Amino acid sequence: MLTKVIKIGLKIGIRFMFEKYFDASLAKKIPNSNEKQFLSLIYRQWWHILYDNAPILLKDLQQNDKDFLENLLRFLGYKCLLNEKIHLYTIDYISNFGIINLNGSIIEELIISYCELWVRVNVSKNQSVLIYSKFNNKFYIGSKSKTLGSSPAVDIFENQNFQNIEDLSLIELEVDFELIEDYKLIIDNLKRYDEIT
Amino acid sequence: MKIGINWTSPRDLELILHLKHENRVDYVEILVDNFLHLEPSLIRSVLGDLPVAIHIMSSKFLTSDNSKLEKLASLLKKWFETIDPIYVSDHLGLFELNGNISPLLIEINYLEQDYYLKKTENWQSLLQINLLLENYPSYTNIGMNQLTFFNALKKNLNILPLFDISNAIIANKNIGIDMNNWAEVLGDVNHFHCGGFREIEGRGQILEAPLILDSHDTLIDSEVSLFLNSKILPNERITLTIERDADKSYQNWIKDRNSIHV
Repeated sequence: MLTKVIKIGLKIGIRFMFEKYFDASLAKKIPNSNEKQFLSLIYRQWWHILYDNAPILLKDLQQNDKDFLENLLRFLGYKCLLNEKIHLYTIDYISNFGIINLNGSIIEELIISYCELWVRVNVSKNQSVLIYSKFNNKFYIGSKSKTLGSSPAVDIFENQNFQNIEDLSLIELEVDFELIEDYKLIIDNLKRYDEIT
Repeated sequence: MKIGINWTSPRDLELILHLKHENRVDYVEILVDNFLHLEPSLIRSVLGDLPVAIHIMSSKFLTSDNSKLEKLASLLKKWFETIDPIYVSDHLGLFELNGNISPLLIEINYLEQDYYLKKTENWQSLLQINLLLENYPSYTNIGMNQLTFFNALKKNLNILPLFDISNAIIANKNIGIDMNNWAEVLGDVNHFHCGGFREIEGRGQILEAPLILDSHDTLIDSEVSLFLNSKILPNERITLTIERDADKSYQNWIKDRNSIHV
């Protein structure tokens, strides 16, 4: 009887601690339970996103930098969810912090993954997202399905391919320098997460 | 009973039209998030008078600020006017926790009942329709109070579940919620979901029983048919949407359809 009471108490305790243990570094402390397995599943899903979207970067990273990438992709996904407008970004700003040595192919990989995330999670009338890379001097356009039967797409344009701004006629264009500052704040405050083992 | 299919992406048009032309579906349920950037009249132009339901995934009505919800509701109402859906449904759940985005929908703490009832009431009033809410495939003990919350939804707001039979089976397997207990809220329910599920791949943890995941990538379990035959009185208003989100093909959908025995 006492064992049963303790078991029930533990279950109730874990239920109310779930929110707290959503932080991966704390989640390791939960005893084996449904809660721990579900949290583990969530973090494995994030790793699948990394493998699918940033294989070049993963290959180049040292172990401790994988945490940064995990958080960066979460951040990109977060910004996708937050923003319903279309912005002109200079994502290369990230390279200024020296956290990771970004090269052209890695930047391109990150930008493409951002576009792909955006077309999946953006819930609005907006058709496309536009990202400009100063590093690569390229425009990246992520577009939702243009009509029924078609698929989302990410197109890449060299800067010189645009004759004038009307080439972007289907896309609202808005420069948001505040967002660039947001990147700095978020990256400065990134937590380093440990995978649940 | 009418059988329908979930149409989650514009790219799946060919499959939907194939099923329609072969008279294999009685209606289509659109995951409207992925179509909102298109004109709703396109849906009617390809489906004709085939009935359509609207299923919302990422409104985030429990957490978004009201200005965003008003904007989204305005867009959705245009869809309601054009499509005239047989029902409109949304999800109870969280997309982030403590500032961390989750790739999986997280179950709410139903003990914060008043807060979530208020949010739900607000969303329904913005949409100006009778909203259905899908029950969650509970993975953790936080789901023990889900039934109490759906009772409160019905009593306080006259909101019924879009009852996902598979999700209820999953909650039974994961945390022991008795399927019979849902009888209290099912009396007036006409709209149902079902989908495939499987065991979550473990990582060497020792658990009393493996966790079951709402995966939508396997054949429909026989318990769905058992439930329909024992708990639901057949009538023409009943709809059952079969959900498949992986290996989407005509052949697989026919196998899913043939796994329902009512």
